[in-house]
Amino acid sequence: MDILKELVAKEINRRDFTKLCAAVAAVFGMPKAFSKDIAFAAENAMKKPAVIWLEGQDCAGCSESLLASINPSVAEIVLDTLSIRYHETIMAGSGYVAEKAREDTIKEGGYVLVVEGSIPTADDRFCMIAEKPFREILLETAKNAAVIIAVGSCATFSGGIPGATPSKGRGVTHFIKDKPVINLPSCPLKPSRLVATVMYFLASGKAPEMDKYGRPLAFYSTLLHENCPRRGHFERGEFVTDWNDSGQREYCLLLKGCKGPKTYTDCAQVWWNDGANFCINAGAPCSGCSQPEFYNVFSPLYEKQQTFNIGPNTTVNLDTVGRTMMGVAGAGVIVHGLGRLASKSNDEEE
Amino acid sequence: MVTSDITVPRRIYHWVDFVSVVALIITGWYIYMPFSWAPGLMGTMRMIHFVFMYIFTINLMLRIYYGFFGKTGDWERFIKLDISKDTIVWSLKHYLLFRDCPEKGRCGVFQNIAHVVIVNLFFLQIVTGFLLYYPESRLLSGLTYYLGGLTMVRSIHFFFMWVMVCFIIVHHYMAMAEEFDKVKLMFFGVGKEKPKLTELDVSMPAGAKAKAKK
Repeated sequence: MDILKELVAKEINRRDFTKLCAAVAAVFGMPKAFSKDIAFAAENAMKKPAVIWLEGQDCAGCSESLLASINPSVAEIVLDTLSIRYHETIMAGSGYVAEKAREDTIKEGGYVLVVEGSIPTADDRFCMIAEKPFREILLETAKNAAVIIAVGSCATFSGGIPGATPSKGRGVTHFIKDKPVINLPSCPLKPSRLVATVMYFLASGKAPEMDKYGRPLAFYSTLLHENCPRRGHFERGEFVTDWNDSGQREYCLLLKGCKGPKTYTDCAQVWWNDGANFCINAGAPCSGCSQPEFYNVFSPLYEKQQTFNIGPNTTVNLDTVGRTMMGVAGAGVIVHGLGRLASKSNDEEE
Repeated sequence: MVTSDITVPRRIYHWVDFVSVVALIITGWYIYMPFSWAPGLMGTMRMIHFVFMYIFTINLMLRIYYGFFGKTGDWERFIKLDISKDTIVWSLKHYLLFRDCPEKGRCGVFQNIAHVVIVNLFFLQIVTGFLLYYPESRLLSGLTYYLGGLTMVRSIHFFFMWVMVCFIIVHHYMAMAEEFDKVKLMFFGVGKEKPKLTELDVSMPAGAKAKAKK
């Protein structure tokens, strides 16, 4: 096995490698026997399946997050074994050479397409690469891709933070309807999710089981609120109301705008940055970055709100609406009551 | 002779409904935004909300069963609207200008609409409530998706609560002001119904109404 030699060079022994493959299989709830397939997939990956990584309106945070994984990890194996033909942030080539690499790969076909960053819908000129609109680049590259993975909140659903800007950025599914797109939302991308999805695809040749939003169920089927480490404080009614009160440090963040009760993610079980921490544990309310409602409907992030989304960028606060309705009903009843009394006294006079 | 259609099962339903709706609104409001003067009750409030959720649901199911197979058989009340140009004009005049009703029992358009809306609202409230109660259920996630996601389901549930609050305000005012006898009858089973009823005629099944007209 060639792969073992390479792995030994990277100080990963056979045992670690088997464990990592089993871990990938376990994430998707596949039987243990399947980890053999994962191992084969990893070995086959030595043949370097091609990857094109496109960046639209993004901050390169997803790339950063993936590249910064601590070694030795599955991420490293995959990153080192996959042949990343085109990645604007990390590739050495530039200009015509770089664009040619992409075009050649498209001609070959059967590559993995990873999209990071949103696509502007207001005007193509918001995002131009090599004198071409990013929208066209995406459609052209998606045509021959074996699998399309949209990573990060910008490339999924309503475009995350760029979706709230005048460029009206939207996710990949907004443009590509005829091909299945695997959405891996969250801001930034959680590296373990991409690696596991790629490994699963290489092992089984198909996309993992997904929910209605195109998110793999393996990562997005549990509600954060149900698994929150602060859940006990929620049940006991202990809420953070004042950031400066150290006595409330461990309390539930609901009143500070935590979107945990509306967010499907495995953050509470699988922590970020190789298990270093995650938002709520670090004392920040969940901003719901793995939900389609992020960022428009969920803003302002640090305020609790109940809103109706009436347009792509327009929301109504239901608390205000409800209070107004109640006020109108109450006032109407009082006016009607007075009118009734007046008309009765009129009747009596007559 | 006009016999009362407010039978004992209907009275029991109304009582249970009254208590559970009030409890659900108070506890639901607390779950939405815990009262700052009583912050430590979230677990209790949620528990009460869930208990009354079941009571309310079973109660409504029994009431619908009674509507179909019970003595009064008034299931048409849940869906039937008696709306025409005449009845709307009469109702507007009756309620806003305090005119007498030209045709007996046909000025209750708004009450009619309100009752149909509120019964169907109860249904939607139960459905959205259960979607929120089982957020991780794969069986229900499809419906949640078509309603616009969990955030939207929450918003719908919350908005309907406000509609119900408005209904309660108007319903109580109307019942107290217009038909206090009926309130006594509904809650305590005492008192007589006035012969000139606005609600009863609307609420009677079509067949019974035709008979009464003859």
